Amino acid sequence: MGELLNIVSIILILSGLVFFLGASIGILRFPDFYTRMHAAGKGDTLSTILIMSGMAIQVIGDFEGSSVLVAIKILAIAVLIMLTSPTSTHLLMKAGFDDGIIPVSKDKKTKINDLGGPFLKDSLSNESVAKKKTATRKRVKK
Amino acid sequence: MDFILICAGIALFLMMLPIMYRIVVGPTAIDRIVAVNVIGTKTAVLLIIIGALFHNVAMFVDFAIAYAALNFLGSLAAARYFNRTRPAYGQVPQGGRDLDG
Repeated sequence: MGELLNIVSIILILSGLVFFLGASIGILRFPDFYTRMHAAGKGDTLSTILIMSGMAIQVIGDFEGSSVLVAIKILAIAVLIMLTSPTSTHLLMKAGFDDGIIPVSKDKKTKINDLGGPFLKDSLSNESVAKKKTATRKRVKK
Repeated sequence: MDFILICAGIALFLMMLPIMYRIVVGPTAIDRIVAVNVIGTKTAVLLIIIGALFHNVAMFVDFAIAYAALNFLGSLAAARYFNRTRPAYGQVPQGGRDLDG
């Protein structure tokens, strides 16, 4: 029983390290802010959950009275990170999009406004009003 | 088992080094914040591994909980700060429009 738990925890920890290797190489090598964010968000969350589960199994394998509480705490950290890491990734992505970070593209001509623009309500409405004004001016000139 | 834990800790530290590079170089400010967020999450994991090496996980797990929660709070605050007040490039963004105006 102890050997089996050991092997399972080792497999979980090693697979978590593999996923973290992917996240690390992705953060280093990807060409763009959004793609780096993609690598960071997914790989980091999954590898953290895997390593935490492995450590929880490792701790609970001792079969002491207090080790169950410690394992529950470790799993609570895993659940906390599973909830908070996508949230912070989403918020940072939204902040970057609102700041107008330009995504990578083949012809290098894509602007942030081509993707729907930043999510700021007042500036969007101002821009649409300005577009309407210029359109009506063109119509009047014609 | 201690050998595998030491190897896992060293591997975690070595894989943090490319993310450190991204913190130093990263073209925008939000790149740096994302990298700091990843390193903070991995530090919580590393604390658990250190606790297992010292046979004292019951103490280190509380540190890890506090570290993960503070890390989330810090990245949340940075995201709110960079959302409206300050463009990521440190100047008016290249989308062609001043976000404050």
